[in-house]
Amino acid sequence: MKRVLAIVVSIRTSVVLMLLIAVMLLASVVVPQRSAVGGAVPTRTGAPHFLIDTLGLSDIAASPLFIGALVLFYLNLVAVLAQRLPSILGKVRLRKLTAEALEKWVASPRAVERACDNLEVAIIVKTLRGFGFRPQRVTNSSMYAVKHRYAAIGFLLFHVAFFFLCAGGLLIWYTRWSGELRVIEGQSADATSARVLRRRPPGGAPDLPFTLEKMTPSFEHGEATDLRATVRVSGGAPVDAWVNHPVERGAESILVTDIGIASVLWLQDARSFGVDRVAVPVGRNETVDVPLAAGIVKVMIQPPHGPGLPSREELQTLPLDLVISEGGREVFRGSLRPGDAAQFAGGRLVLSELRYWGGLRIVSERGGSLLIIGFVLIAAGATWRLLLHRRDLVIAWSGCSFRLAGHGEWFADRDRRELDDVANAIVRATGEREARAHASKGIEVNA
Amino acid sequence: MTGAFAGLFWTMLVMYAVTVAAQIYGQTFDKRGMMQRAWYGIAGAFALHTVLVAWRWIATGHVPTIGNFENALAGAWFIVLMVLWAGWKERYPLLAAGALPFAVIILGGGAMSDTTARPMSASLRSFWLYIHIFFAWLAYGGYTVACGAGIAYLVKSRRRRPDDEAALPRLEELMFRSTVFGFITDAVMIAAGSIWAKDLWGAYWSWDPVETWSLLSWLIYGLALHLRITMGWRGRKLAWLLVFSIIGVLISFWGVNLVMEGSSHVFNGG
Repeated sequence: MKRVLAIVVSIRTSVVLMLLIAVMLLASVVVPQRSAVGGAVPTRTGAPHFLIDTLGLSDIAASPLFIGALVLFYLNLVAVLAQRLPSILGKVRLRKLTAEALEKWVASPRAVERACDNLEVAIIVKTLRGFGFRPQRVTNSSMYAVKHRYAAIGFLLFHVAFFFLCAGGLLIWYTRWSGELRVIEGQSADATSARVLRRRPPGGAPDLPFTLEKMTPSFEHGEATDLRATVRVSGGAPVDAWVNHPVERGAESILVTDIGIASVLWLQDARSFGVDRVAVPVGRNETVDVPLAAGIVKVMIQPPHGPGLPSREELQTLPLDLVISEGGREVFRGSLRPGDAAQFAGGRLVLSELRYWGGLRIVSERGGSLLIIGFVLIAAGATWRLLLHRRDLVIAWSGCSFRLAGHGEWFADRDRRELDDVANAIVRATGEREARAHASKGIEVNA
Repeated sequence: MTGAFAGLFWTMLVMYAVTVAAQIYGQTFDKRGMMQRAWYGIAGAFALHTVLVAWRWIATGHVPTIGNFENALAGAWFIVLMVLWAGWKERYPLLAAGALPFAVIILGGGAMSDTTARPMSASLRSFWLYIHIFFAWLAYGGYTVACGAGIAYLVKSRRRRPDDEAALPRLEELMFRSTVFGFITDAVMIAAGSIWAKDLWGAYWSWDPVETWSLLSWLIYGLALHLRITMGWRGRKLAWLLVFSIIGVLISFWGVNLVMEGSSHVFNGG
């Protein structure tokens, strides 16, 4: 049992697990992921295909091997944290250094020695505090000081952060629903009419009725560079969603992802009575078939001419190429601009206007704040532990000299220079005090 | 890239190439004077580089972050900045011989791609982009310095001249410090990218190849830190590890989109 425990808490186990996870991540980059290619993972033949399917490498996040490695990694993390906790707390407590231990430390050959007359304890304390050390008297002529005593807590923060990431990831997996839809300006829609990208294990689509009031593309040198969708959610006030700035309502958000042109068509009979009215997106590169009047009339809309997205002003006069058939017989072929009508024996088709449609993505999930807490803890913990690392220092002085020895956790060379700087600062501060004392004596004599 | 901008760009690239070659030559044959002069050459090329970054920024109206050329221009600027900082502040001039070839390769690669200035697309108009890319540059700069220090360490530890003995502990510490710096800034880069992805695509993490590779690189450097801190990896072992680890960073910057499919990351578009 002890042996198993030793393996579980071993840093070697951590390293092996990290390597295993790294290898699986590498495999997931080489093998196209379902999440990235929309489920259509290229078919491979023979052994690699078999391996990919068996190990679930085309969906790494759900692969049993990867999940197994993560479970082991988290078990190892728990064990390591539990094992390290007492020593971390011990480090954080300011321990009392014995005079013998201090004497032995300060006598080390790596100690810094400086000559300095009339050294005062107050100067040492002030200098050490100036460098961020917290000094503690050990004997009448020696002192122990520590800097960044709490740095070990950074270790805890960094590693605990992974539990926040795990909790956030699990919560998102359990609650996430996403879908996308095209909505034409003026239309109302809700999540139930979206093409579902991901269903959540419990429950269905979120309740998010909204109306797309307006799409506003921004142009720069003739190219569309930004998009704004003005939506009215649940009958509330209009709000804007930009690319990168979704509209958020609690756990739900509406993202704007795309834009295109939609035509509003009126089918009228010979007496100009309205028979049917539809608003349909126009394809970018493909023709769109629109059945009207229960399929008796069919309209085939060709993609508009010219590259790029027309501006709203251009929409007022943009020609659309149409082919109209009635009862399977072609009755009209030509271009219509907004406001124009195509006449044919059974009636007429009016292109009443062109609008924009907006490509919207609806996402509902919880757990994001746990991920953000995890991110913050990772950055803060690593910075605290590795950059604001702990330094211990001892100083012992006799009549006209002092010795200084220190220890830093990671950066020996840098800490050595800091030790020199502390020693020099003590000498300098003592010298300045002496100079001030002499000057004031001189003033007294002169007086 | 035409006219005066192109002229300055190629002048800068040639200056970097010549000074890096001079650094390597000076290191190999112990020509200290040449190394010193090369150091001034690098500083001169960097000044020119700064002018080019500012020029591109003013010409396009946005921080150079769009496409491979702008990323190479700004990314290499950060690498050289960090090399100069380490060389000046920490007295590691030999670092240039190890780290600057990466900057030259990145710049060369950028020049081979489409250099046309483009307006910023909607997906890139985000405050998080700047945080993401700024920290990416810092991280890649830190990792490149660690790799350069690793190369210098490997050369010096094999040569073992008297002055090399004194330089080795400092180089080793530089490797470690740069890795620590890169690791922390890389974590911020991944976090910022993830928050940005949530706003842009609606998901913090999509297992996109670039995302996965960035995580993989971060994990490798995390592994290197664990090996250094808790398993006592020092010297040549650590140096070799850091030299090879840079491959992961280079792949996440360029390689993923070249050889793999399915990435939504737009900055590699060229």
